[in-house]
Amino acid sequence: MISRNSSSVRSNDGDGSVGVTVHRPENRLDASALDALRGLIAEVRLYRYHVVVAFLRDFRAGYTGTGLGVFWNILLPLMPIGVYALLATLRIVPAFDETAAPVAISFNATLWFFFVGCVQMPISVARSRNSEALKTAVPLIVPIVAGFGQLMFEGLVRLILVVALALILRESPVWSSALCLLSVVSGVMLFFGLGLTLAILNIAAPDVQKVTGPILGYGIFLSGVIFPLPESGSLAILHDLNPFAAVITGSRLLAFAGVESVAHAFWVWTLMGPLLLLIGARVFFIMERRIRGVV
Amino acid sequence: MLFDDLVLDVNGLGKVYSRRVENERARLRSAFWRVLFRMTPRAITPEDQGDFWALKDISFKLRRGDALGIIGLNGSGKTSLLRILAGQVVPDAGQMTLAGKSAAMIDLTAGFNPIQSARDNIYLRGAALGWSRTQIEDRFDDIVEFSELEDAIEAPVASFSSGMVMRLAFSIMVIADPDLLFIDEVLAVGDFRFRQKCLGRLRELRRQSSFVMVSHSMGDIKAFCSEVLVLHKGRMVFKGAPDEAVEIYQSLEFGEPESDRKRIESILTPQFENSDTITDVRHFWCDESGHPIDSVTAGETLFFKLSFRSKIDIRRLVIGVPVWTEKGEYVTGFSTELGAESYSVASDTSVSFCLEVPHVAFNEGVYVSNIGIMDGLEFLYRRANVALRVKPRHPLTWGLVTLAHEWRRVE
Repeated sequence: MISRNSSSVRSNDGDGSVGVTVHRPENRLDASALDALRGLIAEVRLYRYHVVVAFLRDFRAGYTGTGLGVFWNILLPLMPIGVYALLATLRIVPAFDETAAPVAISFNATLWFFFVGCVQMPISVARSRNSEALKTAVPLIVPIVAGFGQLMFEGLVRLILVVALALILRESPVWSSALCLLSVVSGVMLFFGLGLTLAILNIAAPDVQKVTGPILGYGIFLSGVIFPLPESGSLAILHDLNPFAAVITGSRLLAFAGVESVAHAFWVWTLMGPLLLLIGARVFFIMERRIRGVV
Repeated sequence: MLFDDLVLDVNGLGKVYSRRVENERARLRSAFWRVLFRMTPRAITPEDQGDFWALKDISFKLRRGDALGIIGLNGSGKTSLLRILAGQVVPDAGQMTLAGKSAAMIDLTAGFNPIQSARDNIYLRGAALGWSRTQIEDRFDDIVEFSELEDAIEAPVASFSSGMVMRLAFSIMVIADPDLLFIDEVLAVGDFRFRQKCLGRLRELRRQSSFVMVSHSMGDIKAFCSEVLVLHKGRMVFKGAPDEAVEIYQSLEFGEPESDRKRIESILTPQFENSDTITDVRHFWCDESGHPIDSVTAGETLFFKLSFRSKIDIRRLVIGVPVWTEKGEYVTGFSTELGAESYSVASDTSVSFCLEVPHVAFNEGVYVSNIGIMDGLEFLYRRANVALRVKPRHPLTWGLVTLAHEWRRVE
């Protein structure tokens, strides 16, 4: 395997090939967004077993020593969704569209936690593992992907609850539900790309985490997750400008109402997903080794 | 082919560090925005206050089977260089090209999870080295056998002694078969026997791998390295044979001639004088007639005189004269403790002592010494003597001393 000069991915995979690696100040600077994405995927592939081991380590760490054991890893992600669904059942929070309120609110919250995790996880992992990466040479994208595995697991557990609620409340999906999967994938690209970019910026300017923490913490109230956003007035603008609101609402409508009810803003943000992922991947790929050791 | 047997080619490598984290962050912010908007980040030069070249103009080549030692004082840039070579940080100047698989033993226990068992940590660390599950399983038994931790393999690493953790970590690294191994001060693993085992394993590895090794152990450097690079304040001040490199390193460690004096001073201190106990102290090297001297020819008899007035009753007088070379090597000591007689001195008494050293065995050189006067364990006086120059009797001498000896032919 001969790696490009702009890359420092090494042939550590024990495949018997002899790679030539060049390290210089300009390393990776000429990488295009696609090169960067391919480079990150190659790093994850090279350390794929580390992704599995790190995911299992963190997964087990969540319940080691507890009485309920692995059930905590299932119960804890369900708790907020369960509470919101209960509030909706008790009609304490207003209903969304034509969809049964508990289904709508649990669907919204599932996507919200998943998307917020896509932003926050790269930021926190890059900060906490930056020093360790300097010692082990494991690329930072590897623990981030391992963390993404945890997000996926929690998202899946919540999704099962949403499906269960939909079945119980006889909320039948429409034909455009299939598109919902694509919109979620695009949302993941959008927010993961944003997370990768902010993860790098956060090392250079630690204020980033201080700002994103509260925004994403309280943003749930301004993203149409628990309460529908107002249709008129100054806050109505959030329908279009808040990507969380646009993608979550659009995905829910695709799943339960049909494609004709989806707003234009949803399509715009959805199309921006791959673009932001490419931008984030390029920034992360180029800057990752340059932030090493800066705490 | 460029890398026929060349495994590492380092050319003009440099790294800028900042003493102020804010400078580092400002540089990163600038690079971030430029990368985001597809501009080339500015070249890094230490023009800002607090920035400096931690490494500059480092160039060398390493061939298959070679072992390069890197030595230097603390802060000379050894670990930074190793981290760049291991690809963990990007250089700010120059270029480095390496062929084949590399592994870095920079922080052996990094990535270990203390609450997990040694077995789990082998998988964890192996995975962090980019090994697949199959590769780890293939090497698992060898790792456990090498670490000699068969009985503790299921125990959490938190319950291990630091020596056991290092043994486990070292075993994982040496079972890998890299083309190039970067080693940072990690050979002091476990007890003496295990350390010998590690050194033996490294010797075996050298048949197929090349090493770059940072160490403060000059013994390891001389034993393992075919060539040694001396770093000083981020610059390469020497590259060549281990013996010569170690000498240069030691001259850096002990300082320039100007600071030689300081080193000798530090050996001879603390100076101490308690005038409430003894006064009028005189001491000097002298000849047989008692005239002070500052030089003697090897093989002659040397004398030392001491006189003082005691204001107290000294019940157990101990006089000692330790002797060092001017490089600070401790040569010997002359003490009344070794004599058959013990001395005591009554209050308000003046006393004199004479030390006789027949056939001075010291080889040519300058020797520094102290005089210590004690009452039992309590120091009453401690001062430096005049430095003594020993002139050679024979042109050929070896080492520090020439002991009386005779060769005889035995039929």
